[in-house]
Formats: sequence, structure tokens, C-alpha cells
Amino acid sequence: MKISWNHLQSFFSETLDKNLVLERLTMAGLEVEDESPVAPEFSGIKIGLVTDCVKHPDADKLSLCKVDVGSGELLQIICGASNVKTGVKIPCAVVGAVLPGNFKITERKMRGIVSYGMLCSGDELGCPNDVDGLWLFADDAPIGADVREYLDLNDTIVEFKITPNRGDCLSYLGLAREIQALTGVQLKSRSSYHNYLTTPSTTKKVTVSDTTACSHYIGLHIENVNNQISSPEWLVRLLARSNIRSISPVVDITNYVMLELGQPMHAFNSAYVANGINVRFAHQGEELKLLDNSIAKIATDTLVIASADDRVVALAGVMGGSESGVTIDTSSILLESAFFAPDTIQGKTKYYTVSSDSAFRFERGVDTQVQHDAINLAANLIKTICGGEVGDYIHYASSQHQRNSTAIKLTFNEIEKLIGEKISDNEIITILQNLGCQLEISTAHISVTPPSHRFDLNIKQDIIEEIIRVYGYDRIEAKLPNVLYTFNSLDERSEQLFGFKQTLVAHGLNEVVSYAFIEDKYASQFSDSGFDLIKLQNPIAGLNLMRNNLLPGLIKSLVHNVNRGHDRVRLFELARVFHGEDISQQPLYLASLVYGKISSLNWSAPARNVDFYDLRLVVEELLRNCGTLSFIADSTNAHCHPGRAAKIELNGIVVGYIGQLHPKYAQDLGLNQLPYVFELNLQLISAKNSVNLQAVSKHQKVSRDLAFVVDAKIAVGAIMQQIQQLSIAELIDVAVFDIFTGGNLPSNEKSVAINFIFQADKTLTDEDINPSLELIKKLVCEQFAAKLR
Amino acid sequence: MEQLTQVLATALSEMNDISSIHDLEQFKSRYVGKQGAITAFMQQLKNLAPEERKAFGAEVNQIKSQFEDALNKQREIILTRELNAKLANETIDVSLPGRGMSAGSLHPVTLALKRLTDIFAQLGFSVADGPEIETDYYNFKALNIPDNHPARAMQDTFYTESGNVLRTHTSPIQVRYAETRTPPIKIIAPGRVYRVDMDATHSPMFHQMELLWIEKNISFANLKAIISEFMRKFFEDDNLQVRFRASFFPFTEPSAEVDIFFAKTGKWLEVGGCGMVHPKVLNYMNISADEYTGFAFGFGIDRLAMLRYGVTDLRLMFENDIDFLTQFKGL
Repeated sequence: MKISWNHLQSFFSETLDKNLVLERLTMAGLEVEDESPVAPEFSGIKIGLVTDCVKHPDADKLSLCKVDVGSGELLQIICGASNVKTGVKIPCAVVGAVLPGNFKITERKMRGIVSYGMLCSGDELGCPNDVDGLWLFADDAPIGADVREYLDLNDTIVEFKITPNRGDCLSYLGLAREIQALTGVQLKSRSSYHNYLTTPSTTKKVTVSDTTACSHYIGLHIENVNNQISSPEWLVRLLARSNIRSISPVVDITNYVMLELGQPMHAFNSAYVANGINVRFAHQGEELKLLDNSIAKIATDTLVIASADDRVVALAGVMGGSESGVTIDTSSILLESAFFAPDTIQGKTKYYTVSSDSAFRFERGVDTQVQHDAINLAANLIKTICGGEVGDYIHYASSQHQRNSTAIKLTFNEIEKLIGEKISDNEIITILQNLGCQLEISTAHISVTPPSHRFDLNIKQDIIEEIIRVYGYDRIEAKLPNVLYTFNSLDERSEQLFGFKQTLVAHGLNEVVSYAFIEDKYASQFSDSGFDLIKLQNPIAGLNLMRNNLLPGLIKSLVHNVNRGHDRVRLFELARVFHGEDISQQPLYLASLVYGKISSLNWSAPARNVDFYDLRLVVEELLRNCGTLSFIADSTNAHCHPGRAAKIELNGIVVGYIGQLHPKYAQDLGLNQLPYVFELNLQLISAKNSVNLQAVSKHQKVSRDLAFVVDAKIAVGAIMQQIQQLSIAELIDVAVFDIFTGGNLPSNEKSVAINFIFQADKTLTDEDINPSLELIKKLVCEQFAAKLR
Repeated sequence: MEQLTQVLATALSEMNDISSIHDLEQFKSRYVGKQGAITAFMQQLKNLAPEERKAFGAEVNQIKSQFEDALNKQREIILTRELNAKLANETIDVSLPGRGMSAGSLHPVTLALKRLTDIFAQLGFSVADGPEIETDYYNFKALNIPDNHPARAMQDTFYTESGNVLRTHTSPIQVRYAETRTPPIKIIAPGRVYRVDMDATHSPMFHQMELLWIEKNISFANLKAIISEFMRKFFEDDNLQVRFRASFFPFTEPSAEVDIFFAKTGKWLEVGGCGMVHPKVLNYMNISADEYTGFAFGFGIDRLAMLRYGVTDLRLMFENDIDFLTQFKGL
């Protein structure tokens, strides 16, 4: 909310220290978001009257003027503005004046004639307006007065960020009360407003169907109002400082009262509500043309104001209808000042997609007791500005409205306990009194009745917050808790996840973080078709689907980097993906992508491209201690090259896949080679890692090699698996060290050379090892139709 | 006898010119081999009278031993020279850079998160986790944010088509964790959160961490101490100024914004929100508000990471540009 500092100051006799007060307000929860002067620095600008205006004899576009600035003699000033003429009142910079940007005004000869000053436009004074040319002042502007004083330009606009609980501070009065509570500076005593509610209507009334939704309603008739005049300068200016446009005196006055006291008001054309007011919830199918000319189809949970003949004239507390509103031609009005409950108004501006200062206040809460003051202030201003005669009034107050708010009872001990520091009873009492609370105090207890405008104070904690807010959060000494500290056990999962990341970093991979939502384009190409994609109702930037795997983000990052000239990209991401909306359907995935050379360009041998086996090693390293790992050829993965992909199986469960991205994507992605990727569903991998530690034997290892010739289609992994399944105790390691095709081998055969390492608790001899080797030879030859080479 | 000394002198002078082990061995056999010059003197012994034989034998032995000492020295010299030549030949250009596959890097958010978990682990906080697609109940209602309440507008929410939300903060984890446990509760809950906002300082997805401590007698003074100390530890600055500014969050009462003073800019910078857990929220957690109090603190991990590592544009954090990422190598 933007306000004029000078107007806020006018609530106090004592001059406030602005910086100090704004700092206190910020620290007490009324954050100052911005502070800006109304006008830039300038001086020596007076209100001048152009008494004579003729063409400059030697210049077509210049005028030679005589200007009265109240100094007793007329100044000769040359002016180039097109709207200068005899009789206008304008800002006149006299010799010695300083314009914004430190531009000093001196006597100056223009085409042979001396000019003793300068007539100014709004732009030249740093106050742009919509007049083309000189800034024109009202006829009653006092000649010779300082422009800064006249226009109240020595003012600062302060913008507050008001939190949703402090609806009471959405007005000058509310902010002034807050300053009083925080600084102790007393508000000027206000004489009570003249009471215009003197004649209750005998024929008309307010009917309220829901006494909680609307607990208080006042309507006041004013006749013979002149709404055709302009609002006075001060009113237009004050509204402008809060970014409210002047519309007509009556509307401006209702807005002013809202800014001043926090009570939103509405003015109806009496003709539409001549016989009284009916406050009720909307009926099915009702419509209303709003002030912004949109047609609202009204929902039945919306409170409306209807005429006595039950035609809807306003959405209560939100916006009036255009038909029943006042125009400059309206002379007979009904002023409304009412209390609508926050939960009745909440959500309505969003539902009707309107913006409403009134609803903004009602949905946060309005003082239940301010309606009379508001309507009297408004009536007084209307009489003063627009004339007219105050007529009869209609009134409704629920029994609830008249009841006093309930007291909150708490002990001084509770206060100390929650704060962690003793604030003296007297200081607590002073703080609460300055906030306007009624107190009943006994030795241990304090019973607090907040003022009607502090509807946000309902529980003990609210009162304690008020105490320390005013006391100052900064004054409370920080103390470490005096509790028994216990060791907590490390979280296995977090440790495991961090371990995974470290392993991947060690393999030269860079961690990325991608958005969890993806575009249609990436979703349709790279998502897992096994799960439906969750759609967002209100996406931004086309990111409308929640990813169900990590591949789209990795591909997007790859393309980004390749387009930026990188030819070697190695990435991984660990994040949640979304298979459904239940907590159990949001598993963590770990995925990786490698592309380009195995190492970066170097001075030695040229690096080869990464391949399947480079990435497979990464998976092997990651899952080394997670159980039995196997890779099962899989030609069915839609994202992968059918001959270069595998399912990753851990302890017999498929936990992910690895493979080369399918060549079908190459053209679309603009890649001349395709990356290798893997994805793992970590939900399927236990957080418990265990190392099955083997004793380290002191005896010699014995190494033996065997080479088999087998059909080229036989998977070496199958041979290795069969050998492992022999469970030969002394066989501690098996490694393939050569795959050979060609030479003198038929084209459908390959040679597979395998190294075997034996070790036991004694030094092994040929006699110990040979039976095992024979077993292996026999197995491979029989199972795989192999020949020993 | 003179003959003998003459032979040794000749031998020693010849020896100096020998530069290979092979030549040295041949040279050696010329003097002390079977046909060697010194060996020849030994063979003269049997022709001498027994009384002369002893003295002459001693002299020959002495000459022989002098010869062998010199030979060994020369051998050492040759070996050293040969080794030095070999090593000189093996010299490489150590100014060339290392090669092979270099290590990757952790994302700055991970680095910050690791630091955060380490700091809080020292105080006995455990890590809690929760879903990112959340129900309205956990994201709002159980945190005392009713339907349509203006407080909802403080956080622009993404909704799924079925009406669930992408969690707007990590606070739902508080309730999920605490509702099935009894105090003391000391958790940190990091994670990704989502808000409908996208510009240089806002990302629709970012990272938050929630801190929750519920115990008997936890006070606002304790909240101040824990948060201030944490900030000082995180930024490794024992003099870091931390201030607590009154504010409003539906789930805490009293509530505060936490600002830290940045000497570089001379400005206070908001880093998070905190407060004493609201009794209504304790109630949703099935914890007695009469018996227990607690505080919660929520803050942006990305922002702390950016401050710590000097990242000025939030968008860099999610663009995944390798030139950005690789700068975090070794951290």
C-alpha cells in the first residue's frame, strides 16, 4: 500500500523522525518496500500568472510574456510552449531558481531580448503529467506561492508491504495507531465526527439473510448532490499518491474515507435502491453488469446487495453494478458503510477476476466498529464539496456485532516461557495499553481485550507476539537451548545418495538440476510411456507436464551444451519423478548421460568416443555393494538403439536401463553421434549397503588363461555367468581379456580369452587347479558348443 | 720391483681413459687375468728363492690391490656417468598438462545442502523427506492456511489437474514427520519447491530447507540463537549480523523474517522466515501445545548457495551449462 508521508504526519502534532519511524515499522512487521520523493529536488519555482503574451518579434515559435509572480513587478519571460497565453497560471522559475538536475536559471538573452526566468512544464519539474506544454494550475492557485508548497511536493510516497494478518494497517488511521504503539508518540486527539445519522427511515429498511456474513449495514441518503464539479486538488492529489485515479467527487470521497479509516464504502444511485436494501446470497442464475462493464455470472456462495424489489445491485464488498452506480449526473445517492465477514469475501476477486480495493480490505478484515465514523466523514465531505442535503438512513446490526470481543487470558509466566526472557510486567502492560488493549491484571494473570481493529489477536501467542514485536525482537537475547543433546544416527539414505553423487563425480560427470516440469515436445519423445504424465492446470512457459523419468532433462541439457559448442558432455541428475500423485508414486531416479570423447582434447594420443562399456562401468561401480547386478540385452526399449541397450537387474529386479540413445532422434536433436544414458529407479534399491568382506590370503595367486572359440552371437556375459555358477571356491576372479574375430576364424565365430585367478589358504599347485580348469573347459565346451583354442 | 711400480703407473694412466664397463673388464683381464701383466709377476714367484719370495709376494699383492681399488673407483665413475646419460635421455616436459579423464562436479545446490546437513547434524538434527506433489491438506490446511485465505496469495501455487499442488514450501514435511512421532523432534527437511514465478530472481522450481525443533521449553530466544549461529557457521563469519524482523506466517506465532547484513553491498538481505510453531499446527501434528513448544525456520538453499559461491543470476542454477557447472570442480 502506498501512502503520503506528509498526510500520515498530519495525524500527529509532534514532528516524526521519518527514518526512525519507518525503521521501527519495518522491524515490527510493516515492511517499507519503497520510499520515493514525490518530486525531484528543485527550488525557486513560483506560481505565476501570464498577464500579457505576444509573439517574439524575431522568432516564430517563441512568445514574449509578462508574468506576475507576486513580487510587485512583472517579469519579462520568453517561452516556447504552445499552450502559453494570457491568463494562465503556470510554474515560473525565476532568476536564481534551480531545476532538477541542478539546472540554474539566469537572465538570458534570446534573439536579442532578455528573458528573466522560465515557464515550466511538468516534465521539466520531474512531475510528468498529461498536459502537452506548460503545467497549468487551477484558477484559484495563489500567485507567488512556492510550487513545492502549493502542490505539497515536499512529500514522500512510502510503500508498505502489509502482511495478510494486518488488514487494520491498510489505512492512514491504522498506520498512525501503529506508530503510536511503537514509538509512544501520541495521535492528535480527534474530535468525533458530526453525526448525520439522525433520521431513521420509517419506510425503508435493510434485510440481512445471513447475520454472520454481514453483521452491520448502514445506508444514508443524500439528495441534491452536485457530482459534476471536479474534486478539489488536495483530494485528487492524496488519492494519486496511493495510485487511485480521480473519478468524480462522490467516488473520490468514498475512496478517501477507505484510505483514511480503512472502511470500504460504496455509493449507489438512490433511484435503484429507493425502497431499501436486501443483503443475501445470490440465487442460481443471477447476473450483474459490473463497474468494469464485464457481466458477472454470480455463484450462489456470493453475498450480494439487492434492492427492495430483489434486483442485484452489487457484489457485497467486492464491486458495485454499473447501472446502479453514481455518475457525474447522479444527484441523489445512497452511501453504504457495512461490515462483511472476511471468509464471505475471500476468494471472490479471484473467482470474478476483478481487482477491488474494497474486497482486498474486507477479505483481510475491517474494524467492526468503524462504519459510523466512516459514513459520517463521507457525508461531511460530500456536503462540503458537492453540497446536498442529508436525508434518512437505514441500519442493521446483528446481536453479534454489538457484543464485546472476548478477553484472552494468559500468565506472565507463559509470556516469559515462550519468549525465553523476562520482560517486566510494567513494560508488558504499557505495550499492551499503547496497542489499545483493555487489561485486567492480577498478580499472575493478565486478561487482554484487544481493540476492535485488532481482530487478528485471538490466542495467547498472538498477544505474546505483540509484546515482543513492540518491545523489539532485537532486544531479546539469543540463548542456546538448555536441553539434553543426543546423538542422532546418520540417515542411511542421505548418505547413500551423497555417495552415489561422489562416485559419479569421480567418473567425470557433472551434476545438473533440471525443472521437474517439461514441455509436450520433450514429453512425447523421451518420457516413459509406462506411466501417464501428470498435467498442471496452470503451467508457465509451456512446462505443463510433470516428468516421469529424467531422460528429457538430460537430453535438453545435452542439446543446450552442444549448441554452445561443447563436444564432450557428461551429466547426471538425481531427482524425483512422478508416476502418480501419491507419495509412493514419486520415486527418486538417478540418471546419467555421456556424449563425445572419453577425455577432453589433449596433446597425447587422440581420445576415442565413449561407448556402452564406459557407462556400464559407472553403473557397476555405483551398485557394487547393492547386490547381484546383471545386464540383460533389451531390444524393446523405445528410447534406445535396439542392439545397444540392456535392462539393469539388481538382485533379480529390473531397476533401470542403460543404452545408446536411439538413432531415430539424431536428426531432430541435431546430433551427429548419440549419447549413452542410464536411468535407475532408486526406490527399488535398498539404502542398506553392505560390504561382504573377504579375508586377504597371504598365499600366492595363480593365474591361468583359456581361450574358447564360440559362435559370434553368444553373449560373453552368459559364459561368465555359467562359470560363476560353478562356485569354485579357489576361483577368486575371472576376467575377459581378449575378444578376437577374423584372422583364420570363420566369420560366424569369435575367440574369447579369459583369465582365471586362483587363490586359497595354501599355495596352490597344478594338481589343485587343473580339476577346476577342466570343469570350466567342459562346461563352456558343452554349454556353448565351444572349442578350446 | 721398479718394473712392478712402472706397470701399475701405466695401468692407472690407461684406466682414466676407459669410458665403458665392457672396455674396463677387458682392461682388467689384461692386468689381472690369466695372461695379465700383474698376474705375470705372481708367476715369477715360484722362480724366486724362498727368502725373497715372501717380500716380493707381499709387494705384488699390494700392487694388485692398488690396481683393483682404482679399477673399482673407475667402475663407479663409469656406472654413474652411464646412469646420468640414461636419465638425461629419459627427461620429459613436465610443463605439459595432465591428461586422461578428469573428475566431474557437484551442483552448487548439492554443495550447499551438504554443508547445511553437516552443520545441523552436529546439533543432532536428522533429515526428513516428503513428496513434491502434495495434497492441499499438508501444503496448506495443516499449516493453518485455510481455503481462499489471502495468505495463499503469498505463494502462487501450481495445481495438478486432479487438484493436488506442487508443494510451495518444504513446511508440509513438518506435519508429515511430526504427526506420527512424539517430541523431541529435531529435523531438517530439504527439497525442491514450486511457485508460479519466473524472472531473473525467481525460478518456478527452487530449493528450500525447513528446520523444525519441538521440545519442552523451546523459546523464541532459542530460535534466535540457533538461526544466528547457523548463519555464522554457514558463511564462516563469526561477526555476521543477523536480524529478526517481525512478520506473518500462518503456521508460526510469533513470526519473523531473517535478514543478514551484507558488508559488500551494505544492505540487509532477507534469507528466510521463522517463528514459533502455531498451536493449531501443533494440533495437526497431534502434539499438545500446552506441553510443547517449538520453532520452525524455512529458507532458500539456492539463495544461500548463490551468496556463498557468488552466483548472481538464479537462472544459471538450472540452465545446466557445462561452463558454469565445471567451475564447482573440487568443491
